Amino acid sequence: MNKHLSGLTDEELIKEFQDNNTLQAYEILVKRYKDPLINFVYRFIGDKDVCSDIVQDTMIKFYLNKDSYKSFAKFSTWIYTIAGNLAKNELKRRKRRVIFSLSSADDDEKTIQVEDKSFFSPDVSTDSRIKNDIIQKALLKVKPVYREVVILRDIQGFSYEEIAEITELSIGTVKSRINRGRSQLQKLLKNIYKE
Amino acid sequence: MKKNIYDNKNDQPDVVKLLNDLPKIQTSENFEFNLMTRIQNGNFKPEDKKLHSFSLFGFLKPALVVAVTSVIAFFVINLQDTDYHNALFSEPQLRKEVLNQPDSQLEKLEFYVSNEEGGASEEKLDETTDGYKVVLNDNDVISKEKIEFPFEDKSFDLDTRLNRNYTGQNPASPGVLAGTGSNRFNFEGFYTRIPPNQKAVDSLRQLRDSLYQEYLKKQLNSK
Repeated sequence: MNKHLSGLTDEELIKEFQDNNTLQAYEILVKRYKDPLINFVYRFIGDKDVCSDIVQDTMIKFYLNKDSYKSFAKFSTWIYTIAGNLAKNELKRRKRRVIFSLSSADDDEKTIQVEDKSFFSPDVSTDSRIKNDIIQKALLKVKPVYREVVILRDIQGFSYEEIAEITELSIGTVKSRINRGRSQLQKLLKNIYKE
Repeated sequence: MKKNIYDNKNDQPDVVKLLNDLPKIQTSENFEFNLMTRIQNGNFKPEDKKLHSFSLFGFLKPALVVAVTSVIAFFVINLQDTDYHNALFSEPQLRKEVLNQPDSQLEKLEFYVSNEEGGASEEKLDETTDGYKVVLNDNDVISKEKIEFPFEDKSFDLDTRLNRNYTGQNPASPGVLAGTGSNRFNFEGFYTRIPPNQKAVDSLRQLRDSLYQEYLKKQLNSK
């Protein structure tokens, strides 16, 4: 039974889960999407502990509201929309917390100093771990509206149409936001990609 | 041809490459176990927050409060209004001097008052233009009475009236200002202001000062 299910597409699996409440179908979908979703949420939020909770909440939402999925949409875009909305809510919550706690805001400013040339010496930037860290921090400095689409396009590899569906924007807006997000990132990371 | 200005992956190849090369984050090993445990235990905390049932009363509560308050306020203001004395809606009381006057004069006064208000009194039926009024008496007889004006004739020349008291006719007798009525005010003409003689004033001042000093000296000697 499980073997039979694992050969099905996402849309077929969710239909099975909707029609017959087959928990195995749900588990297969969780297995398929847990890593891509945590990758997306982590790149968007930048906090591993929180992003794990967000993905869990996404999966629970999917479990509870399975009937709200309509078969004409792609399952991937539907689940990414849920995860994206939860991530944005978390970001808003954090923003409010930062406003009330000035000290934490100052700490944030100190840690994200991407263009500090003395800090990014050639020796250090060869270390891929630190380099990734810098990229992540630069990504977090990009405006959330641009960051979301850049992550979906350049990290998750979605098409413009899929991104438009996930973000509920027009394709033109998606393209312009990707372009602006990349430009912002390019300015922030100019020291890295010159090497 | 539409030019796709935004699809410029080649314009920022470095950024795209850097993002593509980022390592893929993976969930913890017990992610699925934790998830299934939460589902089996019904531990859906984030969902619980959202489950606020919609009730019409709850939705309309603020509007109801405002409506009830405004109705109460309306009644309270209205009740207070009954005690309020509006001068425009009450008739002025007659002065004592007027009330003590003989009835004929009082009737005359009432007639003028009613004429000014525009309402017809019971007795008055019609007013003719030749200075007479039609009056309905108590014995149901209609009679025509002459309207008594405060001047001799209905046609009245204001200039003639005023010229009677004009001072220019008899320069020897003082004139009376028109419109002063019983409070006659004699008008003796205009005067030009004569400036005071400064020398005389100074000499008078000196005199006054010397007298005052004398007085002070006497006061000191007496003590």
